[in-house]
Amino acid sequence: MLKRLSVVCFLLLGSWVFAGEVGVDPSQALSKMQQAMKLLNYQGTVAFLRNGKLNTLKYYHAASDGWEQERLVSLNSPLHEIVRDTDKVSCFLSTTSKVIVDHRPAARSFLIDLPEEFEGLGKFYQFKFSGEEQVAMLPSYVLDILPKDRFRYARRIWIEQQQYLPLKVEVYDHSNNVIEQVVFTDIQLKAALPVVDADAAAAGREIQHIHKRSPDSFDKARFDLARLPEGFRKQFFIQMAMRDAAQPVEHLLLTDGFSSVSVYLENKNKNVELGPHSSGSVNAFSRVLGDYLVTVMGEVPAATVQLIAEGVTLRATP
Amino acid sequence: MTEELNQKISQLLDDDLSGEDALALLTKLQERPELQLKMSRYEAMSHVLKSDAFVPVQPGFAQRISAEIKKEPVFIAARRRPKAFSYWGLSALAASVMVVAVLVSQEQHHSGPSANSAVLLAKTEVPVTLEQQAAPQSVAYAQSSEPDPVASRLTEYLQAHNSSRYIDGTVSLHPYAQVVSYSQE
Repeated sequence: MLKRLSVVCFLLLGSWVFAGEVGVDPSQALSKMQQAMKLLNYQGTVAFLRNGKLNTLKYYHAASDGWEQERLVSLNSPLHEIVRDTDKVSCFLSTTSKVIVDHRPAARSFLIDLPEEFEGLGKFYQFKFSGEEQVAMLPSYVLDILPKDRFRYARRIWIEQQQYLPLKVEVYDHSNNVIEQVVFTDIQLKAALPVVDADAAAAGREIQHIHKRSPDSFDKARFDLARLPEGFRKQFFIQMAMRDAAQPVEHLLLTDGFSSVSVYLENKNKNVELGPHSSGSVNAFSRVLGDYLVTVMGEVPAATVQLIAEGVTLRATP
Repeated sequence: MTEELNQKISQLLDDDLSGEDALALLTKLQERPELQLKMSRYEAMSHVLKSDAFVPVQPGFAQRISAEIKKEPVFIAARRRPKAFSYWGLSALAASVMVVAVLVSQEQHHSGPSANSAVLLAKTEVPVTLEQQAAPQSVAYAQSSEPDPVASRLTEYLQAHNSSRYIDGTVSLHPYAQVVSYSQE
């Protein structure tokens, strides 16, 4: 027992000494990273490894006076380009003339989901530095984000030591397997970067809008949530049109800061297979509830989406 | 004056000269070649006195070595020994070039866009329709052209859930049983 205690003390002392060397604590490093990601102009090549598929894209982030544009251009087929102007995401696909425009009430970076505030997250995640490594030939701090329950995934972020930009992000399942990876193979800081006019680029093309309506109060939803893992809060609720749906589909987005979960409710749809579905770090669970179909999906373990889906109840109609 | 210089050269060779004097003497040695020769002679005498064996070198030997070293390029990584191209190597190279040429020419027949910016993509013409595609190419497209309604709805959900999913180009969600069976394989 004494031996085990001494080992724990040694590890704690080691992490404390390392944190002292870094000069900031993990939460401060994440805050600095969040600011750097928003305010700096930078570009590079990013590799996304998801569901066994590798996508390599050129990445550009331009920022000016509180306004930011993020742009990804694929290097391999199928060629596509994605532009995020603050809260609007436009996706141009080379295989079709259609443009998908997503008017997200709270759009996040393509690189990593980060919470606005880190306060209070210590209840659900443990943050600790675990070393220093080189990524894209740049020295970086390795920061571990470890969940304290089984409703979330663990993450590891490699943060560049000068500007605090994220150079690499990995998501791990409960068996410690990497299920998603985002990594810069090169990155350059710029004084300024050109901005693309996505609206002009989409002019004359067929546009598929997502989330075109303004967000509503969740009080207007036809459903409620009886079971929700601690730490998840409602980010927005929206009613949106979808193909083959006579009535608007209700969409509630939940987040705990690092992981997002969506709850969809629509009239019974035989085109959706019931039960669990999976794609890389994304899990989904569908079930029928009265005359409705409920689907819950997110970058969380399968048990989490099932728990939330089974806790969805219908509100009494007035 | 000459005696003094001779004395200093001797002291320099014996490492008995102060820093300042050594510097002044070296400057003079650079300016006056006859002094350099004298130093070489003194050095030879010193070697003979200290050892039995001595191989005299030609004047300017050290300078020539120094000049040759300066001509050498600097390599940080280890140099790979250049290989002589064999006949087979050249043949393989020629065959590879031919294959690349054929592939490139086939690629040019495709209607895929070559530009990679939003503005340029916007100006790109609509790609050739499936019916217009040549038969071998349309097989792969034909499979994806019939959208699986189940995958399609889940794809719509996925797109609405997280905009970073567009990065994958085509998003698809598989039934859990299928994923598990893949893992077992």
